[in-house]
Amino acid sequence: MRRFRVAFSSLAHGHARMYLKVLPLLEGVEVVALADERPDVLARTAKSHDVKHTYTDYRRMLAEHPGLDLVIAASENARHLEHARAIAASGANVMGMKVLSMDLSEISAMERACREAGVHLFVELELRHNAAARAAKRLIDDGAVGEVRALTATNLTLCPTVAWHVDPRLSYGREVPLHPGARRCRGGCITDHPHIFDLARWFTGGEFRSVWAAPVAGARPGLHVEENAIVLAEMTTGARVSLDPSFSRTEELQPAGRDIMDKLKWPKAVDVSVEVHGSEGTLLVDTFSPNIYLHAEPYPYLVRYAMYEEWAGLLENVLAVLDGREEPRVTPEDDRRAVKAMGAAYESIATGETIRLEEEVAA
Amino acid sequence: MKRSVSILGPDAAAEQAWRLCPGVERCAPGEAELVHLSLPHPEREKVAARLASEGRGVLCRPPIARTPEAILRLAAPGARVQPFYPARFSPRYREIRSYVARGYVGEPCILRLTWIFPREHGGPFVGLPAGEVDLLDDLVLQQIDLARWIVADRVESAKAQTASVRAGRDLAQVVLRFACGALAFLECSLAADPAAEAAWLDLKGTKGIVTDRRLDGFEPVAAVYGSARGRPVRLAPEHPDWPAGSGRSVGFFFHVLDFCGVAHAERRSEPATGADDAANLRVLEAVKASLASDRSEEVAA
Repeated sequence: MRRFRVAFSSLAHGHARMYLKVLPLLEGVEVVALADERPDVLARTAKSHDVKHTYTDYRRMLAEHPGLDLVIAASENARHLEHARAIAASGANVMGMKVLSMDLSEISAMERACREAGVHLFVELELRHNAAARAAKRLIDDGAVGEVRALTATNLTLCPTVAWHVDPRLSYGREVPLHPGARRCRGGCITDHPHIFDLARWFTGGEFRSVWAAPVAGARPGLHVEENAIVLAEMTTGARVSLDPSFSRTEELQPAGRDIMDKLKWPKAVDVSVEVHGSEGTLLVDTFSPNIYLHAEPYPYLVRYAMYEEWAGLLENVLAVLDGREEPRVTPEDDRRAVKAMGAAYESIATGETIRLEEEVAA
Repeated sequence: MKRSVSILGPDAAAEQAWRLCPGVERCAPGEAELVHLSLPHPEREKVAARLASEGRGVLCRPPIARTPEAILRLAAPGARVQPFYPARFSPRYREIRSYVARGYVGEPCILRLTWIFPREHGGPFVGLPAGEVDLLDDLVLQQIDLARWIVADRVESAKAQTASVRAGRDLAQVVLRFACGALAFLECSLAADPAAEAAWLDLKGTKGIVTDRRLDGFEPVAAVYGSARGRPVRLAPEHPDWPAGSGRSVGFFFHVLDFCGVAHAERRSEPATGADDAANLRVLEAVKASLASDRSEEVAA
């Protein structure tokens, strides 16, 4: 059996925790090193996951560990390109976060760097590996609901309290006010929730033709990015789509040091729900179910999503691609097309208009 | 007349024993004190005015007239013509409205209303036979009223899109922006399979969240719920001309009792007024304008 040596160039992204939980469950995988600029986070994470080598400079890690099979670039969005270039130059394959970047030219630059280095650029969009989403996709492809004519999806997660997620310079890459004179900038809930844009493409089989969006303030008046939004769109198949990528306000503050997932309250940790309206039937897809509900001290109420099959499915696919047994289930091109629609949503918020996207000929 | 009217005799309300008339000419002045009028446009306004002039109360399918100005004239104070928005009398929606009124959820931020029904069912809270329910003029109008009532604010603008999922225009997605900044997302589908229906409400406020779920006929398969290709109809209509679930009947019943001034334990309702109906119609006009322009449209003051 082939063995895979995996490392992390950063632990800044919340998804690093998911990878660290799932990687030890996969056969033949060894997490050999972690890098992060925060010594305390690095030490704590290395201890709890029993990783021997730690670095506050990821470039040094790459230099001292040649021959890595995969490096997970769990950095802030704004630093994905920098990390991807360095990882590719080291000869390792790159695991990119969702989104690769909100700047389409940066996605192209990452693809170019990986192509020139002869390595893979993987992208998360992990909902494509979620069991319920995959089951729904199979039903759709089998014609169970006929032609998909409309779709409604929500992606309601807690508002990230990790500072960079709500810092527009690090989440979006720069400060762009939502509209002229707005205090809030791009880089909030829309940037953090590409999944439903991707699922809309995947389930309808079309691309975004037009996008309209509206933001709305919520429970956090001090937030510098958009907190809630609703998107209406039309796909090239003619399907009408509504998307709600809003941050939830259902979490409550927990004592410092608690896992971020412990902050979740009603109704659940992460929600991605999709209604698929077809000419022959309707599907309601609840991708983050079941959950564990706990009433106990010191938690007034705890909801924990305990299934990590999308992460396991993602990593199994990545390793199978590296082993030459499978093709990637999701590609950077999928990320690019989702980001393009998300960019149109921001443009609609800025102008108040419905944004028409140029139709692209599928490669 | 194409449609029947529902008539309640002096003691009938308490027994829910209303009678159906095929037309207003069959409804003798002395027979009924209260008329539930569900005629289509354009007869509605004329008949409502006539019945009211005879001294009878009229619960009228909304909008009760074709323009906001005519609505306000017809439902002027003391006229005893009331638009029929029975969702306001649903115990579940009244409870949610009370949470907002008491400040439990803080200021409303996003309200999501989803109604997914088969066309054969006719949709919630309308009480019309299948085939006579209009997606926008009946169902979306009911949702607009429910959203306005729960958020308790003026709607400034609307953006909408529709789809033809099974036949004709049978799905609408509408975004309303309120003066307070809150958004309401209304989804209404008449394209569900005959055995399935879903209705839910999510309200996110600055201090809390309310979730109300109802799923009937969606068979759970792991985390995927589906119904397709003609599963048998489970919901037996309570009356051939009143294909409604018990929740709707209860709502209607309380509405009638309130309207008649009968004291009952549930008497905490806030029935829609003519001003509400006129405001709802103005929002619906903005929705229709948005469908034509594919832009967000302002609601006329």
